[in-house]
Amino acid sequence: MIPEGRPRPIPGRLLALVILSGFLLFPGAPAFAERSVDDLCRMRGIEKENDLARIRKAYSAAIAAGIPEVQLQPFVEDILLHKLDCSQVVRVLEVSTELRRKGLPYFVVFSKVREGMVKEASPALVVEAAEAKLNSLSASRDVLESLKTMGYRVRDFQNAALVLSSYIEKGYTGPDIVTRIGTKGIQGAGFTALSGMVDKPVRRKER
Amino acid sequence: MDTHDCRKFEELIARYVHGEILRHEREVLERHLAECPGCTVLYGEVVETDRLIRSLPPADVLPPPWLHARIMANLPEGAHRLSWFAGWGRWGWSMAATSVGAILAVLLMRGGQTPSPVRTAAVSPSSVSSAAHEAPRALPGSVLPAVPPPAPAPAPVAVPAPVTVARNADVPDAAPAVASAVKVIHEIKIYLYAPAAQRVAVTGDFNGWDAKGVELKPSGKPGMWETDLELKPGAYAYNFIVDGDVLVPDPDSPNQMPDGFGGTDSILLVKEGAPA
Amino acid sequence: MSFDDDSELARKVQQGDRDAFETLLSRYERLIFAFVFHFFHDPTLCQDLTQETFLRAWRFIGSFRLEDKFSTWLYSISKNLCIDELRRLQKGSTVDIESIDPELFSTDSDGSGDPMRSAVLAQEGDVLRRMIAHLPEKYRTCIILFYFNELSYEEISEVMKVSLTNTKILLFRGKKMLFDLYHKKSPGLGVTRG
Repeated sequence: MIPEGRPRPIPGRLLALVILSGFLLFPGAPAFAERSVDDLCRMRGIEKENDLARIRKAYSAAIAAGIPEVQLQPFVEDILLHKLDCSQVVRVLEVSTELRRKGLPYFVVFSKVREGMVKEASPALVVEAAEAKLNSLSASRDVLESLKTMGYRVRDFQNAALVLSSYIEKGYTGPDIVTRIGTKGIQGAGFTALSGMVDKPVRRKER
Repeated sequence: MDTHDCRKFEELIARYVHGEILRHEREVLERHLAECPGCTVLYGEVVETDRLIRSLPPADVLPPPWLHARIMANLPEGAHRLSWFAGWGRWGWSMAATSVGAILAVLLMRGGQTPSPVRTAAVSPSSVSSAAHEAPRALPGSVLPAVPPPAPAPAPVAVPAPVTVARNADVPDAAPAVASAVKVIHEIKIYLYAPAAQRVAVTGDFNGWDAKGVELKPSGKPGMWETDLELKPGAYAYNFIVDGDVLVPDPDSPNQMPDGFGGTDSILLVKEGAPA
Repeated sequence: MSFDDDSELARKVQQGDRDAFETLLSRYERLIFAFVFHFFHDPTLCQDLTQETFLRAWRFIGSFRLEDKFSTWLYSISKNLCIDELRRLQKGSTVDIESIDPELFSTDSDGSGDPMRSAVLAQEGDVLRRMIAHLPEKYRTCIILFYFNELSYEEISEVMKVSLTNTKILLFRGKKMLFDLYHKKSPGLGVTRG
């Protein structure tokens, strides 16, 4: 029974169908989201059409790569609030997109950028920190791929990449980590933070 | 071959078992094995034992959670004593004005599993009000959505994002036998000794560096603050927020990293428990 | 995780840095605990000896040479403690491998109510582990370090203070003893292993 005086709710499936057909029928529909990004930019003083177009493009690319808009839009709002300029916004979006495309934890960049904001780091430093994360996470992926070819099982790819990226930021190179683990094993090489995330089903490879 | 001669081959067989033998040695040994049944049997037995040991399932022998703290508590003071504040210069705190207490924070796990290793201790200065540090501005809307982002398709193992925390325990308490999309939530108790502080909070990757952070409550012991964090396995950078405006690393955490902004992050590593 | 390497941390510990020590403790407590556990199969003893290993490391860090490997130095301390404890338990007698009673390894005979103990001991392969914990000390040490702590021959030879060749021979003979114990002396074990 629908209580009197309240509008009858539109059945969910029907609503979904209407919305979906709206997107399918009107090719301009995806611009719906982009327009709101334009508005965000304008609110924060980015008004030139060329700049808006660059951010819009980077934003769309991030969504196309698979970053959910529910995360992306508040993130962009935050970085605009922190006064990143157009190029810096674009760069941070590109970094996130590239991580997402590589299957790496892009949200680490979101978190790093927000950390910089809370700590009132300059926009330039924030972008630098995001780029450093891209580099260290990419190197981590190479390390994990190498470990897999050596018979290691990566049980927790994203967290393992995260932990490895910390080692790399601390100064280890990817090949160095691979060599050390190859020679001594994970524990033996001192990369104990990785244990549980990466392991070797057979304790030591028979030669 | 008599026993005396066979003794000479012992080391060769030992290395042969592990594949660490030169080609010419291998030829000599294989010739010997071909004509010495005793050594062939011995070789077979040792290879079999090697295989048996290697096929043992890993024994998840973990130290009890309190052992770490007990060891630290038993370290004698004196000659090795050094200030805990060595790395705190940038906050401009007067060493003389600070007092310190070492506290234990124990990683508790739900479901009565074998516990993970002990979490870090947390120590804070008592006179943070002396810090000559500009207060960070509160940033609205900086909290990540509460829903963990889906793992990217190419990732071989789908895991929830370490930056978000499912506050409603939406996963079962039992540890999965293998890594899977479902992760056990670990309850981490964090203590902080900060007798002069009015407000203490912790913020970090687990809450998207929310400017307000998760508040610690007075624990009942003088100067002691505490809170529980529910975290999935992962690595989390974090800082304490003392009296609302000062972000500081956990000076007693064993895991510290430059934060890329001129400061330091403490890293909390939440590991999978041992399979039940 | 801390990302200083061990010798850098050890250097800091030599200057009295407790944080650096705690990082090393975090890095090695599981490994040392596992080593001692495999040595004795006794959780309580294992906790005490793990603690004593680290307390000694703290006390004697001044004697650690920074060019050496910290982990092998730590294992040496632990191994010496284990051997001292073993000798104390055996009151100076040495273990004769031939005299070991296979019944020792029956999982049913373990009446301990310790949940940790029973959880670990209930695992398949436990019999073999317990047999390893009854090998003479030097063979036992070698096998545990090699198979469970994954040390290299070189590292074991440093811990044991024996040559590389002798390390390999110790490992070899240890495995031979284990084979005899497993297959010849304990025909009934297949049943109790379940």
